Amino acid sequence: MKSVMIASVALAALVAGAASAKTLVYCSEGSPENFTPAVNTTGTSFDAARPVYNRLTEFKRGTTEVVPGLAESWDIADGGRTITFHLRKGVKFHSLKDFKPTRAFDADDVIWSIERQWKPDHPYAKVSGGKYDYFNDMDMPALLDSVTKTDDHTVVMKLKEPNVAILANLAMDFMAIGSKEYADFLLKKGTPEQFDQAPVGTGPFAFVAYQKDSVIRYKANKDYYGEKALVDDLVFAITPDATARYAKLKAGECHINGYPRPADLAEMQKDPTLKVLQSPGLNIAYWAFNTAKPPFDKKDVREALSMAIDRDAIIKDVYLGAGEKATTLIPPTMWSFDAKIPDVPYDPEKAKALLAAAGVKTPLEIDLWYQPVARPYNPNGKRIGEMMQADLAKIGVDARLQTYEWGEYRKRLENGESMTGQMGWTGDNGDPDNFFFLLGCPGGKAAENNIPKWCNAEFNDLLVKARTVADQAERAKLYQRMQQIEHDEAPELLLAHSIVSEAIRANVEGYKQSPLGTHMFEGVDIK
Amino acid sequence: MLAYFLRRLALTIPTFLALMFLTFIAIRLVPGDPVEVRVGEHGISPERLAFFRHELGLDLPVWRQFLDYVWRLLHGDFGVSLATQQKVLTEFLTLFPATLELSFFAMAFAVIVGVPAGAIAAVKRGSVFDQALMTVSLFGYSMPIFWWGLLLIMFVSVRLGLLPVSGRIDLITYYFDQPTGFMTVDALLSDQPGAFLDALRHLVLPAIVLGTVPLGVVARMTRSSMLEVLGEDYVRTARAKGLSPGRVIGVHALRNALLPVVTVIGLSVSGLMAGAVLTETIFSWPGVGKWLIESIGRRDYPALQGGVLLVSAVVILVNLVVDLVYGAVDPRIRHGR
Amino acid sequence: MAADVTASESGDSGAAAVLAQPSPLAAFWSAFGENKGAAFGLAVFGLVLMLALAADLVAPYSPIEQFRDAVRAPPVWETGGSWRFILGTDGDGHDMLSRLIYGARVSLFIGFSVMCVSFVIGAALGLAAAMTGPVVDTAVTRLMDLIMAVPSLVLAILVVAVLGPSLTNTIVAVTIVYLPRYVRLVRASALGELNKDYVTAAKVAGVGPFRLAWSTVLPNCLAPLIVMAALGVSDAILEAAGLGFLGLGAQPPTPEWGSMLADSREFIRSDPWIVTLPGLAILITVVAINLAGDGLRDALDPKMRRG
Repeated sequence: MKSVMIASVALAALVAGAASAKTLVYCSEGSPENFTPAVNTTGTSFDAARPVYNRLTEFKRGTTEVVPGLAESWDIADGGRTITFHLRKGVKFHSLKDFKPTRAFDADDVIWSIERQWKPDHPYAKVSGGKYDYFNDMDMPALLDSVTKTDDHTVVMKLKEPNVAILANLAMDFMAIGSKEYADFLLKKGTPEQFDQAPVGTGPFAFVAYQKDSVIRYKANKDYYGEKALVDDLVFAITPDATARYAKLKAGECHINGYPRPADLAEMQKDPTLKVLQSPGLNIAYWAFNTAKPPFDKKDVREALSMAIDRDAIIKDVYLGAGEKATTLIPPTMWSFDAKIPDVPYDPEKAKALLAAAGVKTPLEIDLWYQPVARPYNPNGKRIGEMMQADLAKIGVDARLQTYEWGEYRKRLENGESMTGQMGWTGDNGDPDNFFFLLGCPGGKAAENNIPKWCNAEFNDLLVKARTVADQAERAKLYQRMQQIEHDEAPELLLAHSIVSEAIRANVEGYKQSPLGTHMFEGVDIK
Repeated sequence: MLAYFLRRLALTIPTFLALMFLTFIAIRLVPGDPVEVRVGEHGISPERLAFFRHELGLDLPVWRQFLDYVWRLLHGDFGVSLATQQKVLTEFLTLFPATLELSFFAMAFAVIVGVPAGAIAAVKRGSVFDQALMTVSLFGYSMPIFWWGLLLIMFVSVRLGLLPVSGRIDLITYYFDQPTGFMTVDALLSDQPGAFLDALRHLVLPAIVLGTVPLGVVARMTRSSMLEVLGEDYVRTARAKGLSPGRVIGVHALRNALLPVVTVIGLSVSGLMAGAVLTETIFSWPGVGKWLIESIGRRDYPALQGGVLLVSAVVILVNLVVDLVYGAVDPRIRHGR
Repeated sequence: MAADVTASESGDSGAAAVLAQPSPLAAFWSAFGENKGAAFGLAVFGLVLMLALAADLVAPYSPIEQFRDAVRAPPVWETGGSWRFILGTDGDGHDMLSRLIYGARVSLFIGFSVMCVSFVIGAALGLAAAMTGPVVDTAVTRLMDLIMAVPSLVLAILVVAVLGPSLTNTIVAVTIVYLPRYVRLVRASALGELNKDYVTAAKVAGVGPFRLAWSTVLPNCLAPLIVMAALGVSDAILEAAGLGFLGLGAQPPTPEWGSMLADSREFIRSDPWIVTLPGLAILITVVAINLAGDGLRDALDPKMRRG
C-alpha cells in the first residue's frame, strides 16, 4: 500500500504542478461556528477566521503587545476621549470564485464592521443570529460615542469616558474588519449569510473552502502588507479527538497540534521528530468562597479552607504538571504582577486550629461546586473536586460535590447560589484590568462575574482609578496594592495558572505560541 | 400489490407525526437554556437574554411553538442551527454522505466476509472452522465497539502505523471538489491518481469497527438459514440428481438461504445509525452521528430536533423499502396481515 | 440489534434428539448441560455475579478511595507494577481491580433492572394490546413502531438528555429502547393463542380476561420471552456502557465500566491498561451472557434444538 501511495504522490506531482506546493496542516480541535469573529465566542472559531482578517490594531505575533494593524498610526486627544486612526493605504481584499473586489480597503469598511455590531438598523445586524457577545461584553456600546470618517483613510473614534484598554480591545478578534463591498454584493445577491460562511478579508491567508467537521482550506495572500505566509496553502484538519491529533502529528499528516493531551506530553518530548512548546497561559483557576453565606463571611474560615487544599497534588495529578500554583489573580508573565505576594501554605493542622478559633464546629457541611466541562485553566473540574473533597475531609469539613450543565452552572454561581465553587478566567487582551474587574463592585454591589460576592471598597476604588491612568508604571502600582488586598482577604483560593502546551513537527520553523491562546500561521515555514 | 404498498405507506404517516411530537417535546424538556449555554465566562445581561429568547421564539406558549414547528416542517424547513446559524437540513445533507459511505462500507465488510463464512460453516457443520467462526461471531456481536475502535487505533494505526487514524483523505496530497460528498466517488471523479485508494485506506478501520456487530449477526444468520435450506427436499433432490456439490450449494441453497439474510441487512440500518454515533465519535468522522452528540453538548435544539427526525426518517424509509421489496418477493407477506 | 436476530434464529448446539419424555425441567437441564459453550458461559457469568454480590468482601479497596501516592500505577505484570495494586490504578489513583469488581455490580444491576422492568411492562402492554380491543392495540403498536424507528442509542441519548445523566436514568433510557421487542413478542404470541379452540372454550366458559391472560396466554409465550429477557441483559449492559462512554451514563465516582473507559481515554497511549481493562470486562460479561442465553434458547425450544 505504501509504495502505491508514494508512486501516486509522484504521479500527482507530475500531472498537477500544484501538488508540489508547500502545505501547512494544522490539526484543529473542532469546527468553527462560522467565519465572522464578531458573532462568535469560541477560540476555535476565532482561530479559523484569524488567517483571513486584520484589525485596526493587532497583537504582535507571540505577544500581547499592541502594534499597528490596518491603522498605520493613531493620535489620542481630548484626555483620551478622541482617537484618530490613520488607515493603511492600498490594502487589497481577497478574491473568491464569485467575488472580485474592485477597490482597496478604506474607512467605509471600518465603520461598516463596527456598526454591524453596534447599530440595530445596520443591514447585517440580524444576519447569522445577530448576537455580538464580545462587543457587548467588552462594554463597547457604553464606551463608544461615535465613529466617523473624515476622509477615505482617516477614522475618528469618540469615547464617552477615557479607557486605556481600548487599543487592546480593538486588537481582539471581534473587531475584525470585513469588506463592505463584499457585503453589499451579497446583499444584492440575496445571500447575506454567505458573508459569515465564505469570508473575505485582508489577512495573510485567503479563504478557499470549508467542509463542515472535516477541513478548512486557505491559500497564501501574496499581496499581504504584513508578515507574509511562507507556505502556499494552509489546511485546518478538524480533529476533535486528541488521540487522533497526536497520531496524525506523528504520521506527518499534520504539522501543528494546538491542543496535545497532558498525558501524552512526556512521550512527545522523547520523540525526535516532534517539538513540544510550552508557555504559561494567560488564565486563572480559582475556588471561590461565597462571602455572603456564613461561615464564609469570616476571613479565618476562608483561610482555613484554603490551607486545607493540597494544590501541589492537584497540579501533579490533574494538570499533570502543566500548571503552576497561583499566588495572585494574574499570571506572573503579565505586567504589574507582584512577585512579593506569598504563597498560601498547605497546612491542615493550622487549618484545623483556625477553624476551631473561628468557632466553627466540625464536621462542617458545605457544598462544593465543580466545573462540568474542561476549560483551558481547569482540565478536569470533577477530578479537582474529588481531590478537594478528600483534603477537606481531613480537617473535618464534609464537602458535597455538586454541578450543573455549564450554562446553568455559571448562571447559578453568578447568582450567588453556591457556598463554594470552582471558576476561572482566560484573559482576552493582556491587560490586567481584564482580570481584576472580576472582583469589581460597581455601585457597591458585587458584579455578576464576582463569584465570591466580595466587596472591598478600597479594591474597587483602585480598580476604577487604574482605568484612567495612562502611565503603565503608575497603573502597575495600583494593581500591586490590589493583589495584596486580595491575598489578605482571601475571598477565593487561587488554584493555578495552566501551562499551555502545543506540539509541532520538528521541521516546522517560525511558529510562535501566543499568550492569548490563539494560533497564527504567517511566518511559519516547513523545512 | 398496490394496495399493500399504499397500506404500508399509510402506516408510516402516524409514525412520522408521532416522531415530530416526540422530538419536539423531548427537546423542550432538556434542561439548560440554549441561549445561556453559548455564553462563556463573560456572562450575558437579562435584557439581551430576553431579546434572544424572543428572536428564537422561546417566549411563545409551547403549543404555538409546536404548531409553528410542524408548519415549517411541512414546508421543508427544519430550522436553523443555533451554533452555526446554518440551515439544519443543509448541515444534515452535508454530513449524511459521510455517514452513508461509512455505513455502506461497514455493511459491505459484514456481508462480504459474513455470508461466505456462514455458508462454509453450514456446509462443514461441526468442523473446526465452524466452531471458530461461531466463536468469532459471538465475540463480534458482543463487542463494545467504542472499546474495539480504541484498540484498533492503538495497535493498527499508532503502534504499527499501517492505516490512518482519522479523517477521510490525506489533506496534504489530495484536494478536489466534492460534488457527491462520498469521498470514494469524488476521488474517482477527481482524476487525481491514488486518491481513491487513499480514501479507501481511511475507510478501513472505521468500517471494520462499525461492521463488527453486523458481521457477527450476518455470519450466524447465513449459517442457520443455510442449514435449514440444506435440509430441504429440493436440495436433497438436486444432490440425488447428481449435480455437483458446488453447484448445489452455490446456486440452489445459498440463493434461497439469502432471503432472510437480506431482511437482516435491512433491519440493521437502525443499528448502523446507532453504531455510527460511537464510531464517528472515536474516529472524528464528519458524519451525522458525531454531529448529534455534539449538538446535545451545545444544547443546539434545532439541530438535535431536526437531526433525530431526519435520521429516524431515513430508518423508517429504509424499513419501508425492505418491506416492499420483501412483499414483492414473497406473496405470503403482503397477504399476511 | 443482536438479540433481534438471535432470538429468531436457529441454534448451533449439537444436542441429540430427545428420546424419552422426562420431566421438562430435567430435559432442560440435560439439554443445557450438553451444550458446553452454554455451560461455560453460565459458569463465567456466575463468577461475575458472585464477584458483584460479594464486592465488599472480595475487592481489596474501596472503589472511590484515591491513592495519591500511586496515581496511574502500572499493573503487576508491567515494569514498575506491584502486588499492592494487581491491575494498577487509574488517573485518580483508584485501584483498578476494586473498581472493576464494583463495576460488575453496577453493570449487572443495570442489566437486570432493565430486564425486569421491560419484561413486566412489555408483557403487560403486549397482553393489553392483544386483548383489550383495537384502540389500545393501535396506540401501543404505533408507539412501539415509533420507538423502533429511532436508532437505539440516539433514542437513549435523547432520553438521558431530557432526564439528566444518572444510573437510574440510564436504566429508564435503555428500558424504553428495548421495550418494543417484548411488547411485540407477547402481542404476537397472544394473538396466535387467542384464536385457538381451547381459549375460545375458556371464554365461552366465562373465564375473565385477566385470568385468561394469566393462565392460558402468558404460559404459552413464556419460553421465547425468557430467552429474549436473558439475551436482553447483555444488550442492556452494552447499551448502558455506550451511554457511559459518551459521558451520559452513571456519574462519577460510580465505577461504571463504560464511563471508566471514557474518563481514561486520555491515557490510552501512556497507560493503556486503564483503558483496556474496563472494555475487557464488558466484553467477557456480555459474551458469557450471550453464550448462556443461546444455550437457554436451544434448551427451551426443542424444535430449534433439532435445527
